[in-house]
Amino acid sequence: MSDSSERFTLFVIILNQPDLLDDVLTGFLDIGVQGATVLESRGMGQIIRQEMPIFAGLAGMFGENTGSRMIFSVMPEGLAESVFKLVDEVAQQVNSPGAAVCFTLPVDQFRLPKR
Amino acid sequence: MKLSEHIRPDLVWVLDTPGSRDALLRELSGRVSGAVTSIDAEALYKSLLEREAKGPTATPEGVALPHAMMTGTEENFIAVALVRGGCEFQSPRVKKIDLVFMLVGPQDKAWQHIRVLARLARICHDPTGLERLRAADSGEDLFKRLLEEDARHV
Repeated sequence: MSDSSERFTLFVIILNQPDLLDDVLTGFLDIGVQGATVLESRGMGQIIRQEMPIFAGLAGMFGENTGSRMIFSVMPEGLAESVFKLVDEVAQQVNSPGAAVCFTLPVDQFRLPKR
Repeated sequence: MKLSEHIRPDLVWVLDTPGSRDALLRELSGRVSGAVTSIDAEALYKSLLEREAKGPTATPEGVALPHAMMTGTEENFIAVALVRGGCEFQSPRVKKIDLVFMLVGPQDKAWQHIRVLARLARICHDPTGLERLRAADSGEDLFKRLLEEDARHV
């Protein structure tokens, strides 16, 4: 996959509009991201709305929330900027602030199992 | 992945002969073979039909993305056709398609094949972009518009 000097980053996307998942993953393939892990998740607002009646009167503060997806991908650092641009492009489709939140974390070591 | 690396002007057409899916794939296979002489038209046609048999490549946006991995080419390339009047594509979910992106590539470049397909899927998912492509009045014009749409995406 790479030489040992190549630097990697963990790219994390919190996708608050699950409908956009196909577009993100299609974009990953296009850009050259070779793999990702996707988890179904719930945001704080959704949990507060559904499970914490004490805050029911303030539920409107948190907006509608239909669940989210967490996308994790370790990738060469050089791809990260393209992925940020991709997420911007995809999120613009729905014109909703917070549709996708993303960040990167440095990866100290990355090894694939030997075949 | 940029489409510009995989399209060429002599493989982009505007057609006025809708016909059936099979007739369209046969015609496009022949045209591709005419331009890329190492490709066998009949082998390409059969390979495309085999892929379609696994599930139609037509999308709800009225686009078809037939694709084949085969011998006769060392690189992935795309042939594009705008079919005036549209064409049924034997898909239960899609009545007619009028834009065809045919992707042909070698078997040892499957990852690149997937990436080109993903690029096409992104471009074809933009309804405004598809409108601009459908407004093309010639193959040359369609080729130019494709490059413009390609440039609109990361």
